[in-house]
Amino acid sequence: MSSVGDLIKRSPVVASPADPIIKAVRLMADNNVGSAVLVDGSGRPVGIVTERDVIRGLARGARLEDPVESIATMGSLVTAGVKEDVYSALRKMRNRGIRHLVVVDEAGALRGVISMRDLLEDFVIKRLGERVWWPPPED
Amino acid sequence: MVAPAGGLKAGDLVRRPPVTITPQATLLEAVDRLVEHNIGALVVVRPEEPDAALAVISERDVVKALNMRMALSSPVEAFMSPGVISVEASEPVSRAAELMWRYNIRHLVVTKGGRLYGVISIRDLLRPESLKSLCRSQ
Repeated sequence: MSSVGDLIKRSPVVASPADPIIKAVRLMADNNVGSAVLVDGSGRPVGIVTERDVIRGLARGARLEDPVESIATMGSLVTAGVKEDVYSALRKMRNRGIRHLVVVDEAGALRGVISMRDLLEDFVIKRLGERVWWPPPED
Repeated sequence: MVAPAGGLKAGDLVRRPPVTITPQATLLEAVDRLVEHNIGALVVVRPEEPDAALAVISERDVVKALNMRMALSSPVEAFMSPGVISVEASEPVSRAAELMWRYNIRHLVVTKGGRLYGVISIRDLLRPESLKSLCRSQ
């Protein structure tokens, strides 16, 4: 129980890049999550929008009716594989300064999202702590 | 959980003074302040008592306010979550992790002698030095 796939608690909250910002806001608020994955017509992940993106967008003067892709991170998504170790996922978040990782399976299909909060769970902290004390050679 | 000897304390994770806002400030001012400081939460304080935390406004509170179609001119006090989950600076980092997990929050107010001292986030808890302390306390 120390791979990214074990941390996925729910099916991903998704929207389309052309949806208005308010739809992403509603999805995040109703599901009590901090991000929504933007998917194309065939369900492939093409972007992600977070609470922070919404707030930055507002500060820049975006309107809630604007397309969500205008404030989201599109393309070059930072992903984690379902079998990836949680410590590797944490390092990706830290290195990129992000809080959410899109989780994909071997075929690149969307499986879920994990956030920093998911890493606070006891068994995860234990695993992360072990890796910090005995980091792998690439560290 | 018992604090490990020499383990990090919650106060050790505080890296800067808290960024505050008053209950009468507007939602838009809160948005601007979050962005200006590149942070995820503000501490609400009254001007006459700047070291007494009344509430925390997080990005989630802002998103929920937007979802309720609150005007950007609404005062902070109209959408802040009342009450504060806090930890004393002298308590171990494991206590901070426990509170964030239990209350499902991303930011925790840190007090020193009961007075506002700073804010720590999940990101702070997941830094290598904190993880070492957290791991030893298990």
